[in-house]
Amino acid sequence: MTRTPALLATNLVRDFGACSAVRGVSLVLAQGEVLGLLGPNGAGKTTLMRMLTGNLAPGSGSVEICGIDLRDRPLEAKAHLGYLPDVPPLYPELAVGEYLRFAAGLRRVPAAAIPAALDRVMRKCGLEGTGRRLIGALSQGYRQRLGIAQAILHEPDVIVLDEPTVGLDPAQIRTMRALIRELGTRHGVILSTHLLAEVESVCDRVQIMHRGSMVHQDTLAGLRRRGLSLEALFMQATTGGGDTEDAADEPAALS
Amino acid sequence: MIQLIARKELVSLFGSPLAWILLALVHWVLAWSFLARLDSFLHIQPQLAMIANAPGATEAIVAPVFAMAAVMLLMATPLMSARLIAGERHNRTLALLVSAPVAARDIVLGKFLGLMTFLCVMIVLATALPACLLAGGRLDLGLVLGNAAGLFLVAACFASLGLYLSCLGTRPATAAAATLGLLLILWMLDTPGESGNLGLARDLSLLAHYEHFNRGLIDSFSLAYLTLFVVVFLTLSSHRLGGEGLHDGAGRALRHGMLALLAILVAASLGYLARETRTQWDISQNGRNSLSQASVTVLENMHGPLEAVVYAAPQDAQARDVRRIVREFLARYQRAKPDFNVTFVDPAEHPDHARKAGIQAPVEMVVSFRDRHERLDQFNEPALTHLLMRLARPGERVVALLGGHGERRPDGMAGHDMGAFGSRLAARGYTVETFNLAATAGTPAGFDLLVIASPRIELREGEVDRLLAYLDAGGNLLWLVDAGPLHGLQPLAEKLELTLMPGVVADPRARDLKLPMTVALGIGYGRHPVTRDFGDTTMFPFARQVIVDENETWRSVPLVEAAHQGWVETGDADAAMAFDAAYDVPGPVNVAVALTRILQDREQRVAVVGSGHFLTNTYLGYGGNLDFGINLVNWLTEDEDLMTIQLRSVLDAGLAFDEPTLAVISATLLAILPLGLLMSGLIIGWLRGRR
Repeated sequence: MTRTPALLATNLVRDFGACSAVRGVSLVLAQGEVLGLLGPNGAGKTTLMRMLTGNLAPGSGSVEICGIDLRDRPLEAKAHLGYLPDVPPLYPELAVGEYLRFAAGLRRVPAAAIPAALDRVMRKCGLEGTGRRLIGALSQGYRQRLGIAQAILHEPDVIVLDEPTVGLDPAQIRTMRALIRELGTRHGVILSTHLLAEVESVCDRVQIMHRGSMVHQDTLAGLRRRGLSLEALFMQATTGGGDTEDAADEPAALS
Repeated sequence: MIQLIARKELVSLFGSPLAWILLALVHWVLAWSFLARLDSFLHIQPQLAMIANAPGATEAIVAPVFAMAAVMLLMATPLMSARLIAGERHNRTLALLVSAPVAARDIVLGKFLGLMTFLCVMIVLATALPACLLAGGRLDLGLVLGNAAGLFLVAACFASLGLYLSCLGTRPATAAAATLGLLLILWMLDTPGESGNLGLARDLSLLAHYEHFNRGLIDSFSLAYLTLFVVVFLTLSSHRLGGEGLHDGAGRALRHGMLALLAILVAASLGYLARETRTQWDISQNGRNSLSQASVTVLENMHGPLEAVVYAAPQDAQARDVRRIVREFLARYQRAKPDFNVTFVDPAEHPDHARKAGIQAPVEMVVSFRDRHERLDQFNEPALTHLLMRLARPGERVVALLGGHGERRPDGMAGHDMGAFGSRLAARGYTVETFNLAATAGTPAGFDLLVIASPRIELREGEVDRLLAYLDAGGNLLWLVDAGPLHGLQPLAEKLELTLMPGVVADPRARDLKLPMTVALGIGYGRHPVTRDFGDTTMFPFARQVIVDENETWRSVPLVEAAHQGWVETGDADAAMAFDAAYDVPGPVNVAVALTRILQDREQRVAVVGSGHFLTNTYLGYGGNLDFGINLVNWLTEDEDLMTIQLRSVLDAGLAFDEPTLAVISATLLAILPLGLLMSGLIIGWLRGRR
């Protein structure tokens, strides 16, 4: 591949005390690709994403965003990044509009472009008419969509979404998936989830994490071509090792 | 970016009622204490006017309120600072800031700026309190400004420490408690303990530095310390927050520890430099931290180091920190004379030193200048400046008492002698000697003042001529004249254009003091350097009336009017005394006069007192006799500057409010303003919530 990948992570490691959460994970995300990060709860997905977005320092390994090293030039690298953490970073005491304007300012969106960006993102995320409402008074679904709105409002090259559809009703999930697919045509999107259906419906490629390591990766097209079901692959990758002692702290969270 | 984050902090703060409630509460407490102080000031104002060097309104009301405001800020800041970072971590919102292209430094500065803006609102509200006083009088605006600046700086210290502790953890409550605890320790660091050794603790104490501002003093070291404090904690905050995305685990803690150590070392060395080059400026308009011009002039004329050893226990019987009071008093002198060195000695620890120095009072100091020493047990500006003047005086002043005619002796211990007064003069640096006309020839010379104290043997004509020649040559003279014959000194009286009336001044008021009626009580004093600011009663036994004849030669000022309800008894003084309108002159009676004339471009000074008894050993301790005598000698030996160090009067001495104004101010401060703040908070909260 001659084009610079949107995101390139090499051999990321992170320990929390004696417990290692991520052990040597590498991944590549191309522009215009949606990568699904699949894994049971506790597989290290959130830790990995925090490292990818500069929220957590890796013990070793490196992250490049659009070819810029996150550690050496963090501000430039982060300018290409949009991030929705597992808990949306919302200030309940702010109004939706205030919050989005603040987020746009933080992402260095030029002041003149802010109203248009707000309009666009609120329409896309179904937040029309909520601009003056306090975030603390919003329902769970709105909060989740507002979380996505702040991540995409500056049209970043890399969008990292940690469990974006949690707390949404089925209709909202459908629109959200459509939105992610649309984002995936122009941006690089990394999406973590434990929902197989989500990966199947929106992702171009899937990587499966288990106990801090990348255990399998393939394109969805490739899977289909080989006639493999994602579910079988997932079961095989995450329970195949058959360590009974691990089964207790990693209950397979399949739906 | 800093502005954006600061603005968001303010929206978060003022969007919730908490900030408004806090503002209203702090304001209400301050306003209450302010009004209480104002009320008591208005009550004691008449008494204050009587006290020399009384504090002005700003010092009495505003400075304590600001000191209290600092403590309120100390309590309030941790509540606001703890949530800045720890709160964001707790609510998991920090990811928004950290994943955005914003430097940790900008996040820290933005948060700090936001909090400081809020604290500034509190400071402005606190400053609005003294502004109310402008409705009733003047204020020492310099002192107000110094206080506001000090409050701003300590608020910045509180905020920066709070912000740093907030960066360390994820729990706002823990951060708040830790901030409050640390701030309290830093604040009270200089409260003296058993040891009384405060060197470093005092240098580190926030309160000690704030107190300079509170007194209207800009201290370069305090300024540097408080600024370094803020810079260190902002740097540490920024490093701690930025390190999170760069390093993990133990490596990060180690790096941060190293930086903290480095920052503290750099700050300590800069602080040390600032301490060594410390200067202070008194910005209060009343100049309460400065010396009067007279004292400054005295110090300027003292070339060479000045040493003071203060014998004082670390605490006095009432557990007050007397050393601190003395230190602050002497600091005014040290500001004007940097080579004024002060050391403290505990007399209980070194009783031999104290005995050798002749220490008697519980707090006393020995001041040394060029191998001359003087003791002092009063710590006020006139006393110390007088002492310094005596130390600085180039030559000894010589006071000569005429002898050889049965005069009162300056070394005699008999009741009619003046030994006590003589030794008092000696203690003030005068050389007192007896001058015998028979032992010398020509015009008397070799002394600064000649005293003629009640001769009892006739002076020969030649002797009188020599005394007259002394006067003609411009010599200064103190003549104490008893009732009765002049023993040949009539020509002297003529020379001075005086009429010395026969008869003894009788004063029935003396009986109230269980004294014979022949003691005349001096109550009214003339406007003269000798009697300036003189309030004591003086007592003149067997006094005679002194009348100045109209003349062109001498400028005269009557010094003492005695016997306001008495008279000059022309009858037999030993018999029953009663006012006889036909013969007696009614009081008040002038018994002392000061005369001056210009002779060869210098002022010749003469004083005549119609009583030789008032300075004798028997009567010296009566009323203000001693002080009057000393003042007389000081003036006559041309040391009038010594007499009163004119203390500056304060410009904000008086406040006058009529009842309605006072009621409006109280209502505004206690009800309208706090309620307004509360209502604003509630209304804003309600408006934001309902849309």
